[in-house]
Amino acid sequence: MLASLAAVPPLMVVLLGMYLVVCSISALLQIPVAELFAVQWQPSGDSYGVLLLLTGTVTVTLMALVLTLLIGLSTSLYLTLYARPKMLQVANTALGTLGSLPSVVIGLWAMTWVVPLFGNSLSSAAITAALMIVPTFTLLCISALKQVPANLDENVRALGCSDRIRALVILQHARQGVIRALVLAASRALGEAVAIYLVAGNIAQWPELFGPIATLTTTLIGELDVATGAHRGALHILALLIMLLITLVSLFCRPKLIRKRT
Amino acid sequence: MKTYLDSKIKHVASLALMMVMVLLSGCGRDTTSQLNITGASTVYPIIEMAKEGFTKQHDIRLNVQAGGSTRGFEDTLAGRNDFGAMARDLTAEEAARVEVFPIAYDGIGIVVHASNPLKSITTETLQRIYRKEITNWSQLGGPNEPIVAVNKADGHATLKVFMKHAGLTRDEIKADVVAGDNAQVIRIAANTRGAVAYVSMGEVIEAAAIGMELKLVNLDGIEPTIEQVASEAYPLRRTLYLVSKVPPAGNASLLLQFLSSEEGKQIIKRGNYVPLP
Repeated sequence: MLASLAAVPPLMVVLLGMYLVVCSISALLQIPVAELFAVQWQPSGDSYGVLLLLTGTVTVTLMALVLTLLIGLSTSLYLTLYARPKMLQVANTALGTLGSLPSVVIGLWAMTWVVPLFGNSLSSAAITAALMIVPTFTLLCISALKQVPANLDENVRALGCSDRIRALVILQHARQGVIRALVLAASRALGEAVAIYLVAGNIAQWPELFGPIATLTTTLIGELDVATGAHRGALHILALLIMLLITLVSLFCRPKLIRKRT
Repeated sequence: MKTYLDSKIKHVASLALMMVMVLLSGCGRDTTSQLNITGASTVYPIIEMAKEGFTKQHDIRLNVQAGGSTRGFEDTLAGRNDFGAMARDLTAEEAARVEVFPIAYDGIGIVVHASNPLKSITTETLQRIYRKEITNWSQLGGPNEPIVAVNKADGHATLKVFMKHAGLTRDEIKADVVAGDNAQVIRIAANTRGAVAYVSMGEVIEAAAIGMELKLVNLDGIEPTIEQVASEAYPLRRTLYLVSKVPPAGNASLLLQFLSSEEGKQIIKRGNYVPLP
C-alpha cells in the first residue's frame, strides 16, 4: 500500500510533464520556433516571445529572494538567539498563519497597501512575492538554527566573542539548512501566480523597478481562460517553462535532501 | 506469504478503484435536461440570473462557464456546448459557420477613480491617452496625477470593441496595467487614483452601488446610462449574442424564448443590460 501510494507523486509529475510536453509540441506546429525568441509577447499580433516573460519571472523571484533573505535571516537570528521563549512562540504562530494565508488574500491586501506606494510594478510584485515566501523561509531557518548544538553557542560566548561573531558562527553551522530553505522559497516564488497577478501590472516589457512587469504565471492567469488556437498552445509552452524552472531549482537542492540517515 | 500477497492485491485493487472513481466523478450528471453555455464573461451574469426563473418554468438545468467570446465560439464549433456566448460582433467568416441570436445590448463605460474631477471625455482624448500622447491628468485640466491606462488582456471581446471604437490598433496601445476579467479592471480602477479604464457598464453600476471608489464619465458628451445605451445615443455599445452550431430545438429554443419573454427582459434589465426591443 505504502509503496503504491508513494508512486503517486512521481507518477503525477511525469504525467503532468508529459501533458505539457505534448501540448507544447503541438503548439510548435502552429508557432514558428523563431517566434518564441522574439522580444515581444502580443498574442493578438501572433507574437509569442517568451524572453520578456522569462526575464520577468526571474527578476521578480530574485528581488523577492533578496528581500526574503534580509527579513527572514534577521528575524530568525533574533528569535533564536535573543528573543524570550514566549516571544518565539508568538512569532512562530504569526509566521505559521501568514504562511498559510491563500495567495489571493495576500494579493488583495497588497493591492490596497503596496500598490498605492509603488504602483502596479515590478517592486510591488517583488514585495508581494516576498510576503508569500518570508514566513516559510523564516520558520525553516529557525528550525535550522535551533539544530546548532547548544555547546557551540556556549563556547563562542565563553570566548568573549561579539554578538556579530556569535551570529556568524551559528549561521555558518546552519548554512545548509538556510540554503535549503532559500531553494524552497525560490521554487515557491517562481510558481506564485495569483498574488503577483493582482499587483504586477502584467505588461510584458524589460524590467524597470517602478514599471509594470509580466511573468510566466501572471500571463497564464490573465490569458488562459480566453486563449484559443496558437495562443492557447503558447500558454502551454509557458506552463512547461515554469515547470522546467522549478524542476531545475529543486534538482539544485536534491543531493542534500536525500542524504542517507545512518 | 499468502497474507502478504492478498494484501498487495487488495491494495492495488483499492488504488485502481480510487482512480476509476476520480475519473468517473465528472461523468455522473444527468445530461438529458440541461443546457451548457460557455463563452463571454459579459453574458455570464445574464444566464446566471436567468437560471432560477428558467429552471422553475422548464426543469432544465443551466450550466454556465465564463471564458471569453472566442472560446465560446470555438466550443460551439467543436460541439462542446449548446450555446456559445459572445460579447462582440462575429466576423463574416465566423457568422457563416454558426446560428447567431442577439439577446441584449451592453454599453462599455469609461471609468475613472471616484476622486477624479473629470466628468466627460472624448473618444479622441481616449485615443491619445492609450497612445501615451497624454500622460497626466493635468493635461486635461485635472490634478497633477499620472494617468494609469488600464487595458484588457488579449483575447477579450471588450478590447476588440474598444479598439474598433477608438480607432486604435493593438500595436498603438501602450497601457500601464493589463487586467483579465471585468472584476479585475474594476478593482484596479477603484484602487488607483490616476486610473482610466473601459469596462462593461452594468458591472460598473453594480460596483459603484456597493461603494467601490470609481465612477463612469460621459463619453463624447453622452451620459453613460442604460437609457442612453437603449436609445442608441451612447456611442460605445455592443450586442451580446448566443450562438449555436445547429438550429436550436427543444431545450435550446426554450432558453431563447425565455430570454425574449417579458420575464427574461426584466432579468436583463436588472443586470443593467438593455433587452432587445
